[in-house]
Amino acid sequence: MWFETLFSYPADAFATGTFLFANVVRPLWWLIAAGVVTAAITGSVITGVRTRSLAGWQRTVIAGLQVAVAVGVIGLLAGPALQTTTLQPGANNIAVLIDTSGSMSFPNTSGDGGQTRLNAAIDLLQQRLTPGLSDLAEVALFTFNTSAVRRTVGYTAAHGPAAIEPTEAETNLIASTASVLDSFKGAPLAAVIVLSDGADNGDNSGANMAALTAHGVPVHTIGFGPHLLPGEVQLADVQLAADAPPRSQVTARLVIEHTASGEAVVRVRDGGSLLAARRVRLSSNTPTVRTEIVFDSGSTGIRELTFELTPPPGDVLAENNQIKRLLTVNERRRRFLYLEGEPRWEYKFIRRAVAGDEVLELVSWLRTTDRKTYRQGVANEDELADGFPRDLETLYGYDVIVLGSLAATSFTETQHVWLESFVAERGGSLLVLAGRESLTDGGWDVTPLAAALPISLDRDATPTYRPVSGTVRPTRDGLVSPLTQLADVEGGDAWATLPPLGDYQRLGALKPAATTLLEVMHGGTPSPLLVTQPYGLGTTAVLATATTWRWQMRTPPDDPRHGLFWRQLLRQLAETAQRPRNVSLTMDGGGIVVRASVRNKLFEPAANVAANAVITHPDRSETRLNLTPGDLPGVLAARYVPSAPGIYRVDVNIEDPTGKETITRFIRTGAQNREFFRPVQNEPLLRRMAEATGGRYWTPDDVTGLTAALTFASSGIRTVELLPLWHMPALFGLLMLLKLGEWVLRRAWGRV
Amino acid sequence: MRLVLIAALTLLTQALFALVANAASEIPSTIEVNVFTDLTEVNLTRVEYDSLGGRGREYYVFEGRVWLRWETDYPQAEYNFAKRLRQLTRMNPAVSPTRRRLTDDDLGDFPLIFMSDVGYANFSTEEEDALRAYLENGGFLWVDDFWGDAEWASLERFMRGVLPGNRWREISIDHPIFHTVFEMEEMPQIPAESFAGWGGTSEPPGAHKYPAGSLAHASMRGYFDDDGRLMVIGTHNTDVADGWERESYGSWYFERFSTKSYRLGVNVYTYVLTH
Repeated sequence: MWFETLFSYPADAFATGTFLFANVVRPLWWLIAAGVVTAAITGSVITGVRTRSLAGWQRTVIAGLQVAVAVGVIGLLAGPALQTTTLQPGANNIAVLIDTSGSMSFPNTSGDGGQTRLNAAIDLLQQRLTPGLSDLAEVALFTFNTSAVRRTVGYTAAHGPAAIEPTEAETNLIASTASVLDSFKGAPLAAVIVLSDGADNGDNSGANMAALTAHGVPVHTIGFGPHLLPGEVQLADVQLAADAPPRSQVTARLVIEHTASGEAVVRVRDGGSLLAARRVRLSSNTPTVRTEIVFDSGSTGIRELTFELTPPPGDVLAENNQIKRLLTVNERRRRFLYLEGEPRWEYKFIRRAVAGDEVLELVSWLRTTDRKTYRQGVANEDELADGFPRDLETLYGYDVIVLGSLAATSFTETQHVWLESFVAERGGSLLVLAGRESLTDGGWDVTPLAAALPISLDRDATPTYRPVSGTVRPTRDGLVSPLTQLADVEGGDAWATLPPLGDYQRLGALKPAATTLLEVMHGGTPSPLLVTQPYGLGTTAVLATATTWRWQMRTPPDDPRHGLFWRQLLRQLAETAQRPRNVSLTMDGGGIVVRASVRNKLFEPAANVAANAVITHPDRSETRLNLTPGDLPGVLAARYVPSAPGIYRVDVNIEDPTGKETITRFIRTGAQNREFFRPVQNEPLLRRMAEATGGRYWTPDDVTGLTAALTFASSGIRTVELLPLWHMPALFGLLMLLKLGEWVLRRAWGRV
Repeated sequence: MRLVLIAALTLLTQALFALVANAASEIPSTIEVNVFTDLTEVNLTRVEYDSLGGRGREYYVFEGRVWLRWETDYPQAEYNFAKRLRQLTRMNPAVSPTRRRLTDDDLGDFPLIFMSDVGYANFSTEEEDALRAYLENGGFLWVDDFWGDAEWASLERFMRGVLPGNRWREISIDHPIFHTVFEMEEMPQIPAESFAGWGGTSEPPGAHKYPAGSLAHASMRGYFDDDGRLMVIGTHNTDVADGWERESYGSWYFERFSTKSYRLGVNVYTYVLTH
């Protein structure tokens, strides 16, 4: 308001307009006039009787002030003006979208009770926006939640909307806005105004935002709802693999967002059975807490898991403390290749630990003498007949490789490159065990694999592998890692009561991305024992011992910890390995997005792929749809909008040049209303949406500039206007200040 | 006169026996060979046990020293075998052998234990329980150098206490244990070096527990767990460890018997380390 008082026009006029002098036809004459006046004033001041006694710099100041005033007057005579465009009244449309999703029923402020966000939006539109908007353009009112609907009934230009009722539906902010923009194609649309809390459940990714930007129409957003709900705790997200092997440890990653402090408890339930529970400390310093909870996958089948959060006292919304997820437990075999350089006990007991496992299929190759090898678990006579997989395709057929006490010279240069690419490009997992010929002692420091390992291999004059007794304990990361879970055997003492190890291989410095999961205590000093890191598409790990067999031989026969440790470690390493064909199901704005990723045997994006999906509804009826190539190579996708809530089975049939495969996934729709999650205003999204389209984010308390912003914006049908500036109070004030300054100086210097 | 002669001979025999017994007590029956257990190595471990019956049964005198039954071929057999394992394979055996009783707390640190000459063995219930737990954990027992029916019956009686309800089975030559490193076509019969000079491969029945029955053919017999994995083998009517111990007693013994002992030993150890 102050800006307009001083400068006669809104700031948007200056931001969009072009400055010019309306009376200037021959600029040269005006310049000559300005020069003559300047020279005359300067000469008068320098030679004048009244200023003769002043110092040189004082005369310069006086002359400068007088010249500035004279030039200002000449400038006003030249007719300063702004050339800009404004909306042509009555020729344009302005679309106003009011969010009626579930979260708009929540209070507009953080206190109890009070006006809802929807009512606050309606009030704002009726009382402060509608009169000004109606003068500018034809206002088209829409309400939206999962989609937008034009409201023609109950709206008057004079008073705005009436009788807009809240819904319990979810929000699809970007798609709804885009559909409104689409509906005006061919019609002049000056702007879109969105009144929302920004609590979006749709896809507001960069790609969708870019599609919005492409319309070239500014979207102005007005945000409702508080930015903070004191005491509110919500289970914001649960990340869980779509499937898992039976009787394996599954890790779910939980995100808790809160404005509270105290202790919360998270639980996982399968129906009425409690699978796992964990306490989580909430601190006001960390509004987002990420934690993990590990539970047993159970037997084969589909599990509908409920993740519950019990917050500390003071929670505002109870509806956002629970999330349901589906987990498919199936017996999918994973192959791992164990290459060992010497007959030793660790080899025997690892083999025993995984024997009969439903998931792990062990193929091992052991060098028994310098010239002889011993193969176990091979599928046929050809497998590993040459000691190492003959080609990359065969190597990539394994999910995990375990390297034992085997010197680097055991492999050719090409095989070393393959080992590195097995991790980096195939996305496999590789575990290195300690031994006389492992790591640096085996000369691995000069191989390509050295770059992939989570520790530095520094050449050492002394052997790094030695017999030494040490007890094992998990690190903080190890306590929650699915690779190192023994907790359900003996509670917290499961690690402490294990027999000490009998060896250790000194490791080099840990790399920046490395995570230590287990450490071993030697005389009170911890040393890293199990270290992992992601590398390329895969994972590498180093276990700096080869005497875990003591955990089997020095415990009672019914103690399962040794077997559990190895099965868990290898299963999880296998789980992180990439699969050549994979299918994911996600919900997007009420639709199920089916995405199939297909790679060939060299794990490159596959060509000539066809895929279709058979969707089985909760009532057992079926829908078939084809998947079409997506943005990424080797990825096909389709979207399906379910008609009713429930569990949907999706069988995706993939066919590529190497064969056919059907992958089955399950997804539950409409299990819970996501509107209760993140119940505060999502100002960043509203800002991003506005800025991406050339609009602006506004608060309800300060929308006075909205009309001006629409008037001077560049979209819609517009007229050119010349706005004179000579009467601008700011200019007159400036000239007055210059003269006043000269007078004050003259008084001070005694030369009035 | 005849009675006097008999009495005199009896006294003379007793005196000689006492003399030998006293002399034997001055000879250390075993050599302390291992004071530190290096678990990064494959330790060759001999089981120490008690026998009954006095001289000739509980112990015997040979080459100027008294041997308790469990000590037969120990430790020279293990010294030589470790050396050959290192030469022939990529195994990393401990240089010095280890000996343990079945009831020792750290028996589990030795996943393969070796027992010899068990014909007169007398095991306690505690030893049976300890061996049962050891085997259930994945440990492996190799029993060698017991000949004839009576000595087999002695082992079988012990194993009935260790693994009730479990029956031994003959291990045929096509079992992988005979082919892990060296291809073997028959179960070798290795006689003690002192009997090998007679020309055959067997030992005389009189040298073993009565009734010995036939000692003509060597065999490997085994006890398996519920998953079909071997837990115990008995190399019956053969003395594999003597082939290791006596490898340097003339080239003919080495070439004819020790090589077979080593081939079988390498195969068995490799098998146990891989299954």
